[in-house]
Amino acid sequence: MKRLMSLCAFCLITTAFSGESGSPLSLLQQRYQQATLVSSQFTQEKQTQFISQPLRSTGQFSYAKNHGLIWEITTPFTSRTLFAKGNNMFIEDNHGRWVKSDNDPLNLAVAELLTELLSGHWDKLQEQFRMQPATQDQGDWSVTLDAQGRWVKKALQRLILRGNKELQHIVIIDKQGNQTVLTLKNVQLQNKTLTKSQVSAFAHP
Amino acid sequence: MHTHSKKPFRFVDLHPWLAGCWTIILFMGLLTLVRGVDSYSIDTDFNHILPQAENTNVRQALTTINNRQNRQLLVAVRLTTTPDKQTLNRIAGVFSNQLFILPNQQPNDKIMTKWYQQLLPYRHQLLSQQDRNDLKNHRESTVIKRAQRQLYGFAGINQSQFINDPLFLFQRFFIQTLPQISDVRFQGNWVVGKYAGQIVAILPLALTQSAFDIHYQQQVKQTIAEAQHTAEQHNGKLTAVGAIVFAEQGFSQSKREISSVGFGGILGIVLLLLYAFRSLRPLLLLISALGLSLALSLQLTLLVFGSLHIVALLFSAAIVGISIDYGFHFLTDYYQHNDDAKTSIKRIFPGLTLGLCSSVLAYTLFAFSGLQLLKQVAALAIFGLPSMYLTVVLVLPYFYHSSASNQWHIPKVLQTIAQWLVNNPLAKLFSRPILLIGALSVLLIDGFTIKPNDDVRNLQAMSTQLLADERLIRSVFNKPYIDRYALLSGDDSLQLLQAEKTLTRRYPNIFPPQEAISTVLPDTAQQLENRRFYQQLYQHKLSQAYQAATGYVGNLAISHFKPLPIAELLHSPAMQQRFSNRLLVMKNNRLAIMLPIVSKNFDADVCASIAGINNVSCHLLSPVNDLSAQFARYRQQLSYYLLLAGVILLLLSLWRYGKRGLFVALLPLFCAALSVVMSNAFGMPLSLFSILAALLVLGMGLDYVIFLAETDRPARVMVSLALSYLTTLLSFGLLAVSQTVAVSTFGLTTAIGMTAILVLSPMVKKDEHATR
Repeated sequence: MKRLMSLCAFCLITTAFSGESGSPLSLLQQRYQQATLVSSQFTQEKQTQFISQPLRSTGQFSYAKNHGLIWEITTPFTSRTLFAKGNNMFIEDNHGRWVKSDNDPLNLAVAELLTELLSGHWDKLQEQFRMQPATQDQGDWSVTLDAQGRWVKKALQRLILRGNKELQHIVIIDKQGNQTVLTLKNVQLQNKTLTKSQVSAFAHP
Repeated sequence: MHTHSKKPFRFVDLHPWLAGCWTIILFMGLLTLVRGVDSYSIDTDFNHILPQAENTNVRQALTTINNRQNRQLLVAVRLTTTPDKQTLNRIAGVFSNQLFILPNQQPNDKIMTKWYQQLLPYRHQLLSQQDRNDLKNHRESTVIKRAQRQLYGFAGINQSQFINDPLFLFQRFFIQTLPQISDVRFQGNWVVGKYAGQIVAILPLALTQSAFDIHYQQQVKQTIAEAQHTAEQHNGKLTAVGAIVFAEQGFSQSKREISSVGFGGILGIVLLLLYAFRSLRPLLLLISALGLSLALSLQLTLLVFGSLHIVALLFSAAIVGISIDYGFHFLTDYYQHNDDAKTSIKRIFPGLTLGLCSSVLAYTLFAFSGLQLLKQVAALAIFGLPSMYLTVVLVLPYFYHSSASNQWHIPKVLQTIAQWLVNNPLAKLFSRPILLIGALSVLLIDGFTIKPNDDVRNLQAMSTQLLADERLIRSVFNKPYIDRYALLSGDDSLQLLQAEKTLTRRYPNIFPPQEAISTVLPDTAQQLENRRFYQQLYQHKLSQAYQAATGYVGNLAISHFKPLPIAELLHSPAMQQRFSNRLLVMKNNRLAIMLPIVSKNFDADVCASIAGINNVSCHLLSPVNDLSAQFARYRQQLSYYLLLAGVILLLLSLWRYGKRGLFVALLPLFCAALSVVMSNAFGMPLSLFSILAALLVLGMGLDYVIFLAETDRPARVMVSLALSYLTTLLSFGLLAVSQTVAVSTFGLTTAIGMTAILVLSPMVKKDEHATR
């Protein structure tokens, strides 16, 4: 009975998020929920109204359930950041060790949203966002989420998710209207238990 | 019997108008008490019965600590899954009434904006700890990389902030000035964290009324029960922690104990009286006389103090215990002699009066203790004992007109026991002065070697469940239990911060520097140094490269140096909010800093390290330990009173009874000392409460020996004493079963002392010394 109720609840949430159950979006969500490790390359373009050229960075990220998110920028500079559980942020030093960084609430707030997206717990986003109905066109889909939680509102105005078989673009629009577009490439989802070396990559003090 | 002479006791000729007047007074007392019953309050706050600190700043700091702790209620809901908004809203909704305030956990935007604007002009003098360390060690590249990460991070960039602070140095400093709570996140008014694999959502509430208001406690308890029901419907387990919950638990326990012990005691006393006098009249008379006298005593005490503490009320049972003896003496005398009530009163008058005087004298000593609780108990006794005495002497005889031929009223068994007690071998043995003095000396020496336990926590038996709930909430917030503070106070804010900085630097394990106010508001020297770091960084080639890469020419110029207006900033709402736990605004609008001591092992001389800083005083505060220390002080003080009372009694007894006076004075003192030593041997701590019980033994014991010393018929007086002893045992002895250490100590000590006095008191009887 409990399982039946959980299934019902899951279906309700998925329906609210994607418009219909069994859609590409709900299937995608299930895949993310099952994955133990999500990794991808990314390109980030940050456009601000007062800097003429967009701030472009590239790199890769790995998200491991219950371990955190490693965000690695390779150009225009190199940097590795670990967003660990409990709103803790670590930066890799020159010796490859994670060093705890000062509190950065705005980036932490967005990183938390990203981890919720990558873990497939999209239902949690409903607490912080008002979701507009998803649009679909020949397998391409797009969902717009308007920030409504007080804390989220401080960090951003809107979140737009776009994709096809995979989540491809995350558009973050901040309070001032500046837009950051995150494009994901070669998204890999691993369902197996993490190896020791994979776990050790997230080990922090 | 020399006391039969009529001259000194003429007023006992029982003028009817005197009895009438006194009866009217008694009924007026009862009526006034009943009429004003709604306006009187029973206080359950233990802070109100304890002495206040002498230093004004310390007093205010302690009041702040108490108010803060007492007005807070933390509601925790344990769930197996992350709670959804609706569930939390539904539970929080139960608390949306006039009983609580739902404080906004999130920083107030307006206050934060103003705070930002206040600091902005001084930005080139302010650096976060991390940036400062890096720049101090010439790690400019690390700082620049931090700026790059911020620039290329997920979050947006505010144009005006970027112009003023292109390397995000001030932004990082500013974030450091905001409240830091790690490992938790906010969900509306709730704080969500984890504990033992479970998700815990905590709703911090503020109370709108005193946590010690009994009616309010019940309303809050009801609301918590309702919220518990709501939480259960969502598979959650709700617990609430706060002073009000502990106070309610303490009050309920006291009420339970008073009810069970009181009921058992009263039932026992009623049965005993019915058995002893085999008539309803003495029982009804005693109850009426006691009730009226106690009502008058309560009314007068309430007039003096405005309210009565629950513990004082508990101790008022002692007054009942003593005053009922006056009635016993009259009734047993009347029923054992074949004459009238008037003659009975004349016969017992000297003993009764001396007994009253000695008890009132003992209780009057309480009034000088400086302890509010003892003052209330003293008032109850000073008003209550004479009330019962006058009722017995003036009014009761009117209910017994005829001459008594009522010997059958006193059971033979009781008379036999009394007879045995009067001639018991132990009393005979101790009637040798050397033995009594020797035993007393041994007891006093032994008493001084007992290690006392004055822990104030003995006042209440804490529920283990409540303590576990408290630990849960503490661990979610990752807050250690703090019960000690260093209070810094002074006229000059800069010097105050200097003192704080000195302490946090010298004792980083005791006062974590990262939580210090001085990290947020650096002193002038540090501001100048920060400014130099800014200059070095802005001129660094990496900064130029960073700027070029962004394609935006920001402002890398340094503003003129102007010291931070520390005093003004410390008074700002943002600082008051950020450091609400450590920044205190005193009555004269001066500031004080209260530093929590996080380490259990700390140097008691920490305050000495700021001796060189002018006009800043440092006090170590430990509310619990300070109270325990005060308890110890009062225990010592009362012990001296006990000895002093012994010496005074010895002199008075020698004057009245001659050589026999030695026993009259020393025996109650011996029994008082014996009760303390023996109760300690049974596992009860030597505390203020055992000394209070010893004082009671001294007061009541003195009555026993005086009655026996005054009479020519000790066996008849012993009947009254045995009855008195049994009622004392039923009223106080039963307190020994209390779960509260303080109360059980009092009960057991009294029981031991009174048993000893009953057995040994016959050594003072006249014939004993005449034969000797």
